[in-house]
Amino acid sequence: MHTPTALPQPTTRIRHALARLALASAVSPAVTVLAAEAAHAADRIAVNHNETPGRDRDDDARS
Amino acid sequence: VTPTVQDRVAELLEEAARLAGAGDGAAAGALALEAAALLPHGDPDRHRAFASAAALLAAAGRHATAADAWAYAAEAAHDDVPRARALTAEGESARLAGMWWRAIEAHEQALTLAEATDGSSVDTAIIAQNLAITRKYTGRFDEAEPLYHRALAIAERCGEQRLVAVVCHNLGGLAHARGDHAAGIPWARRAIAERGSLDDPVGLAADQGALAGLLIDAGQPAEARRLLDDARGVVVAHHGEDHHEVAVIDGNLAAVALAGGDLVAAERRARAALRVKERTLGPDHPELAVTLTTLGTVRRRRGDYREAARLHRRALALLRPAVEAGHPLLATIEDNLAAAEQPRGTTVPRIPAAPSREERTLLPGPPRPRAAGSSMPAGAVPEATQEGPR
Repeated sequence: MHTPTALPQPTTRIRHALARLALASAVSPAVTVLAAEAAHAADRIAVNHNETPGRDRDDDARS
Repeated sequence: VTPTVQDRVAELLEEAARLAGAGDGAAAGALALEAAALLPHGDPDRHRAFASAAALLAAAGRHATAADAWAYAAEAAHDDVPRARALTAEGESARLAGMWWRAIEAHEQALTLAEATDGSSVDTAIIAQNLAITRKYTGRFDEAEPLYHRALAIAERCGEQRLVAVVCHNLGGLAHARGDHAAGIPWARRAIAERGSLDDPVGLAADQGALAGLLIDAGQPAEARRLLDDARGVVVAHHGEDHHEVAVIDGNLAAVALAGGDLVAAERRARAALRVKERTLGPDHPELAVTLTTLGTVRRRRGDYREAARLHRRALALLRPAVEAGHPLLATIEDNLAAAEQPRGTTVPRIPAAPSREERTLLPGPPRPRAAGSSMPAGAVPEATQEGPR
């Protein structure tokens, strides 16, 4: 006769799921959520963009 | 927590993990956010759940919702180090969502916490330079500059070469925003030199693109064009065509073509840039303004004054609430609008000034989930902030 296996405690399930989420969003496996968070912050050093607008006044001056 | 609620949280997080593993980060993040909100204040997993949700949402480009999730993660953090990191991430998500004033507020809070922990750490340098870039976006140039130099000194002392390269890149960007290309070009060239010894071709392409923006202003379109073509190849190979970085490069290629009088190429590039920005940032993002005014200038030069004026007005409507009055880009767009309207014999409409900083403090601010006395109750699911199309 089959004996049903008891499910893990909800807290254990929550922490396993959080570890799986961390793996899914982290750059490398075997990192904790907090380590992944730190890596995330380091990867998010902001870099600006220099997009120069077209300037009608300058174009007129050159034309 | 009743077992029923914990079971529900576990179910939601397990489904989120399954979706994340299947590559649907946006759906996974939304479920994780729902789960996190069910956990009570003080639960040791609450911060982790919000941080996981936020990281997934940010990676999926849901920056506005990610900013909210990071704010809740900061609120639930057990001490100041993860709180400062969550606030920094909130600031970055808010900046990417175009919510620049909120980004400044989050970064300022993060910097206060980081300084209390260790004012000379690399973490503090990152926060300082991220605050600086956001201040630059809004036109607070004088407040940005010392933060960049402080971050640069820490990065040099700690041997953080990548951070050194980024801060040099951004100091060039600060000069570009101020209209001082002569001051910016040496910083941009140093960024390229620093990046050259790192194995980071995409970062190097970004540095080349940034230098190109300065060279356009300096009247050196040939070198700018060469740098932009090289950078575009690298960025497209890495990110594909449908990426914000590609749009910025195309916007600069439009400016190069415009300077050379090739209006057909300029319009093609500007329209491509605008299309990708609208898709990746949404239709109401202030970073659309620079591309809109370039396209408007092209249309005016091609004789379409009505369309030109419409584009410049849309640019002003997007940018004005996001920056200080007197921002150089606002002035450029206003000049472009005047040029588009003048030949038709109409007067340039008076453009209301943006509220001063003092006036702004009296206006309703952006939603701040952790405002005093307004902690999100356990079980309350954060309302998803409207996101632009992706």
